[in-house]
Amino acid sequence: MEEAYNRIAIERKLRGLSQQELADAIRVSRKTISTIETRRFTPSVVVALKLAYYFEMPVETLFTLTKE
Amino acid sequence: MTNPYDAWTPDLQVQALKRVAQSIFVLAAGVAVVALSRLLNAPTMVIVVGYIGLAVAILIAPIVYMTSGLTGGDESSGKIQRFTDEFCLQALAAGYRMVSWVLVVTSLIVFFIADDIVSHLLSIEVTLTQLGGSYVLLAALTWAVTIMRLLKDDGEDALDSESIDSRNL
Repeated sequence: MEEAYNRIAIERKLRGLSQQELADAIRVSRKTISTIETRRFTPSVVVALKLAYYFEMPVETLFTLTKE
Repeated sequence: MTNPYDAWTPDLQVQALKRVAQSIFVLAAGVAVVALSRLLNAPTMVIVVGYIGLAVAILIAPIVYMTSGLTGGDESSGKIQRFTDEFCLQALAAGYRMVSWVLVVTSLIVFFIADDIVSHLLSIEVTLTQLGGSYVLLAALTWAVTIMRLLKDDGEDALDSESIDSRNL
């Protein structure tokens, strides 16, 4: 099964946010953010879109199927 | 973010899921120890200790469950809360997936070789009720262990930037 890579940890750190602050901002648990960042879970479309809206970037920039 | 209204927040849901898994594990493990010690004709002392453990488990499991927040809340008195957080839903799905795998594999083992094992190696008689009970216990233990494993570690999540970056880039 193909895995999705993401830039969430990078974008979060660029904005100086903690996992908890990002989680609170998009109304998910901190565990959701940490497991997405470490690629233990692939998020649903809803959470992926929430993250993309929050970081103000296209979802396909935030999530990719290939390593950058 | 503070939580002045004690709402059913995503982080609270994660804590609740952890406590539910712990309570189910404690209860299932207590029952399993007693059932195994009786099935294998363990010494009386072991059985007595097992029963004491079971009594403690029966006492502790509901307390842990009741403190999970699943049975209460500001919005729904007497109504069970539902998990809506992404991680909780994924963890629940992973738990059920693992249970289905374990039960299917166990069923295949029972179907193909249990008869040989029981007739050649053990001199015990297993009733249908005991077999069904062991399936329920196995399912409960598998579910609880899977959930607890997914939830176990806050330290593991605090990966340094290098390790996260190396996995993503």
